[in-house]
Amino acid sequence: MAKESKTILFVEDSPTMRRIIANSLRQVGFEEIIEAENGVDALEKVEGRAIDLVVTDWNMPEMNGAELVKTLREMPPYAEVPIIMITTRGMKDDVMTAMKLGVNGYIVKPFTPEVLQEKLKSVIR
Amino acid sequence: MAKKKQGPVLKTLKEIESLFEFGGEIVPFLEELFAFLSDLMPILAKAGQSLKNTTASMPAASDNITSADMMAEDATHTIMDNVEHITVELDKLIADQPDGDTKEALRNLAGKVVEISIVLQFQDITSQHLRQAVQIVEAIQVRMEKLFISLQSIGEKNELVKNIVESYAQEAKEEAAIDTTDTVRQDAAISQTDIDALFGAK
Repeated sequence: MAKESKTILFVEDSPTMRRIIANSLRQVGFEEIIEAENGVDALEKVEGRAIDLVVTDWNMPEMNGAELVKTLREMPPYAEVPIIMITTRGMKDDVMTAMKLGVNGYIVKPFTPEVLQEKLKSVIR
Repeated sequence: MAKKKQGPVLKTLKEIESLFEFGGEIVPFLEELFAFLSDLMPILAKAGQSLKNTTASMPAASDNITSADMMAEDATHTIMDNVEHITVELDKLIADQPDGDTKEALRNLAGKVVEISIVLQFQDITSQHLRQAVQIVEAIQVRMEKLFISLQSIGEKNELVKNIVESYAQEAKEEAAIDTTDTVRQDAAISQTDIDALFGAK
């Protein structure tokens, strides 16, 4: 897989899922991954940095993924950054809410590497 | 004149008579009510004690679920450590290998290792379900504690009721102790060190 020079902000509270998804992202070719445990942690780590893509979970303590997306969309540097949400929330209403918030791709756990790869390709063109 | 004075007396007598008639009618009702309360009190006492025992067992139940969740997470990370190590070694082998059947076989193997890693998502999903179950158990515990306090306050308002409740509570406590021994073993947990010490002392 060709190396991607893009920087990903990856937000996930579960240590297990963080390792699995981070490994999957590396396998797809992303080397520059900023890992955060929740929305608050993500906003602290991303401050002043250029981000090409955000991959976030929904259910997280302190600040969940939906709140993070809303906050990022209100911040000019990140208002247009592609966002993929990876979550166990698989109801139609959840997907609709995420879409309204400005999420560009939505993956329900458990996912396969192929699905992740496909979504990454579709949001980063 | 005498007839005039008799008027109020007769009226009072009539009232007393009707009161006795009413009393005659209400006595069977009161007897039934007393019998009902006599039957109800032991049930309330047992329910109260059962609630108390079940409520007391709930923290152990939620602790057990949390403990199982943590063990599964630790095991998952051990598997992932090894999977990551195998992946790194396989990548080195693939890079060093010239194109051919062996390289292809190694690539297939690497693909299978990635599959193992991906399947480990089950741990996070299971963990989320278990956390929800713990939240439900804790919410039920809060409700049951409130219910138990309400039942207890019934007994505190009346000495007779209190005595009945206490006598049945003791009986129910002894029964409950037998019932929960096998299902809630948290208090009976023993460390490996203690087990070894027991075997060593034999």
